[in-house]
Formats: sequence, C-alpha cells, structure tokens
Amino acid sequence: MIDLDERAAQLNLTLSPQSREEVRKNLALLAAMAAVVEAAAPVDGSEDFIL
Amino acid sequence: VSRFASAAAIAAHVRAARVTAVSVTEAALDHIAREDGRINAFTAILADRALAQARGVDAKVRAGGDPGSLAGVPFAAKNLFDIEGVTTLAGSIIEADKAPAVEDAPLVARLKDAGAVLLGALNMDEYAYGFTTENSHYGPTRNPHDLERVSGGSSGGSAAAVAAGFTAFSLGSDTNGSIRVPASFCGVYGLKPTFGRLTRRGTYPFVHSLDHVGPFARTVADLALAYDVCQGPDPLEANCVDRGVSPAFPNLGKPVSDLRVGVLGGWFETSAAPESLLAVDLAGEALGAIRGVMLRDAEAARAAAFCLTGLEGGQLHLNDLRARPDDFDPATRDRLIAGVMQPPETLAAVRRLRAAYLGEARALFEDFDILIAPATPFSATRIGEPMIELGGKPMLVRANAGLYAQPISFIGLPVIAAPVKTGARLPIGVQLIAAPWAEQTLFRAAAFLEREGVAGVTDPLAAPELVH
Repeated sequence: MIDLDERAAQLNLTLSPQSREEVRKNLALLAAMAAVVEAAAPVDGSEDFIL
Repeated sequence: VSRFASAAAIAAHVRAARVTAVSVTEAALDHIAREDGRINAFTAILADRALAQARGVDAKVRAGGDPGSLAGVPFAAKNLFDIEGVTTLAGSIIEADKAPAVEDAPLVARLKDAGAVLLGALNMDEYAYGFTTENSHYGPTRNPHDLERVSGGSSGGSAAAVAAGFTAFSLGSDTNGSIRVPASFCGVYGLKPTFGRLTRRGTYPFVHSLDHVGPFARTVADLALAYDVCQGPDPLEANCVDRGVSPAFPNLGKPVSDLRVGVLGGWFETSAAPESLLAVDLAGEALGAIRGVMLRDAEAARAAAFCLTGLEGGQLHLNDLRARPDDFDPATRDRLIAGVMQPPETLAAVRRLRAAYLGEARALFEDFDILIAPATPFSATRIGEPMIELGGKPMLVRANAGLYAQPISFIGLPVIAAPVKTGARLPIGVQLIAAPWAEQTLFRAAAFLEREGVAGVTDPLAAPELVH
C-alpha cells in the first residue's frame, strides 16, 4: 500500500484535504486494477509491442 | 444543399459548380449560430477564415482547377488539434495562456488542402481525460438527441457537431474510447484507426502509448472520404507508420459474404444494458456472425489501460499539478495525481500484458475478419448524473463508459463505431473491430450494415427537444 504523504513528498505535490480524499479513492481503484494486471501478465513475457 | 447533406453530396455539387462553397459555409455558420447556444459543441468559430477559404475553393472551380475531393465540405476539429493562429486548449484553462499555434496540425492541413472548409474548434473533456464532455471550464456539450444528456467524451464536441448537422464530418482523438463513446452516444460513425496509422503531430497528447486520432461522419462513405485524405506518412512523427495509403472509399461496395464475423462474449457482454446487447445482436445477425467468441484477458487489458493512462497522463502534467493544481477540473486533477503516484513497476506488468494480449487477439484474427462488441455499455446518460443502475447494480458513468472500448484500443486495433437502428429513442453504437491495418475490411462491413438499414444516422433536430 502506498503511503500517500511519502509519495506526494517524493513527487513534490501538495494535496488539499478534499483532493487528498479523492486521490486516495483513485489510488485504491488503480491498485485494484494493477492487481488484475499483475495476475494476468506473463511473469517473464516480452514487453515488445509491434503491430 | 440541406443541413444534413453528406460530404460526398456537398463536394459533388461544389465541384460541378451547382452550389458555391461560400453558400454552403454561410448556411453551416447560420445553423451553428442558431443552434449551438443550446448544444455547445464549439469553443471557437472561425467564420471569417472559413468564408475566405470557401471563396478560394469557388475560385478554383471557376478557374477549371481541381478543388479537391472534399471541396466546400464544412468540418471542425477537437480543440486539441493545432489550428494556425488559435490557441490549442485541450479542454483546459491552463493551456489558454499559451501562444496560438503557428501552423495547422497535418490532418487539418490535409483536409483543407482537399477543399474541406474548417469552421472551428470543438469542445472536449479537459486534457481528453473523460467520457462525458462535462467540461467545468467551457460547459457541457449537450447531446443533440436529448439536450439533458451528455454527448460522450472526450471528443464530445466532435460527435455532437456532426450529429447536429453543424459539419459534415469532424476530427477527434481516442485514447481509451474517446471517439467510440461519443459516436455511440450521439448516433454517428466514428473511426479509430490502427495505432500509428494517422499522424498525431500537432495534437495535444494525453497518453503517448495509447493516443489515436480519427474522423466522425454521418455516412460510411463520408467517414471513408475523410479518412482517405488523412492517410499518408509523416516523417516528422516517429509513431506514424509508413504503410502507404490504403484507400477505403473505393472498396465500400465490395461484398461481405467472404467475411468471417464473430461477436465477442465474456467481458463484452457483462454489465451491458439491453439496448447495447440488442445493437450487437442486430449487427451480428446481419453479418452472419458466430456468437460468444472469447478474447482472453480483456478485463485485465482494460485494467492495464486504466493504469497506463494514469501513469503516462499524470507524468505529462506533473509540472502543472505541482504549480497550478487549482486550475484543473478537480476530477481530472485527482485522477492524474493518483495516476502518477502509482508504483513505477506497474508499467512493466502493463507492457508484458500488452504484448501477450496482442498475441491473443492476433490468434483470434486467424479465424475472424471482424469482431463485434458494444461501443458503450449504455446509451447517453443525464448531464450531472455520476451513477446509473444496470441490472439493479449501481455503476459509475465516467469510469465505465469505456468498459468495452478500452480493451480494444489498448492494443491499437482499428475500430469503426457504427450507430445501430435499434428503434430506441436514444442512439447506441457497436464496435466493428479488425486486425491491425485492416481498416478496409471494417469499411466494407460498416457500409454493408448501412446499405441493409441496420446502421444509420437520424436527424436529431426533428426531435421535440430541439423544435422551436
């Protein structure tokens, strides 16, 4: 789980109280999405994307 | 020439000197002046410039020269396309401080060179991050079929302008569904070509790995005419792949009996409203499709597109997120900040999945030429309505309008969003999806659906909501 304050400091971002709550919700959604991606992505697969 | 005339008909009349480009342009500008106050498709109307351009087209006709395949046809571009002398807003107020563009984006220039007349710039979601065009700075673009409803986004102005008959075609962009979603909601055709087919130079970026550009139109022939003019290499844009011009227009009448068509099941039929599934059924039946075709990992692909959008989009705007956070729409800002905060290692998983998932899709195209899926899970929602209920379950509109579009653009497949005549009051579209670089096949299938009366555009200005 990402520490919101630590990550904001790393990125030099300032969060208002209202923004902070919305960012937290969005991060939770993205973390859930990332878990789906991690589960489906081949562990040692290629990263090449060529159409 | 009527307000709802096709680009093909307008160009034929202008080229034959039966009407002037100036009269067509004046009529379009009058229509916009009368109606756009209620729809809000345009953020800039370039009347003087359009009339000057139209006079140039007429002069060419009088001199016996070739005025171009789109002679005198009115069009407009999403306001993330550079237009010489106009500031490229990308739906934001932050960009409004910037200098005007010094030249037209290549796609705008190519269309003007073909005789099309640029009427102005069109509204969009801020920085293209949205599916509704409820822009907090420039106001919502209202759906011409129901003014209480959204036009879809992020190219909402582009779809609404075509649906309302302001322009015969328009330009938009699509990162996660931003052509296909508004095409579905506004009941017009939209083309998201193969990733890298059309040059993006001179457009404000959103997600470099996912950004596409393409046209909207009211007929398949017009979509093909605009697309054919837009094609061509661009040595100044590394992402634009030089595959020569692969014209769509000459192939529209070709039979479709040899096409192997499948309807995508699984992810692409869960969470869809009945009208969305009906549209797919009608298109599938007309094209003799096999049902229940599975594209593995579509849900993960959609999740990956979500993460990638946040990572790249957030990084792109990081300086402004630090320096002027209050100048963003709060909903855009907070998603961009969350996106850039994601752990960097997510990107590697996204890329591995993208490569593998493209392999899954390629394998499907060994057996199918066209795949069909809903363009949107539902028809246009009400302005200001964050949630809708589907099958008794609440669903966030903004996050889910691209549910079926995102897994397709994630791997850059070409798509035509076609409006299907379901008999419902509100329009709804399907995605016709092909293998990379097979746009010609898509156009054949879309033209067939139009000829058969399965797909087509209706004039919304006959609707009670817009009658004076």
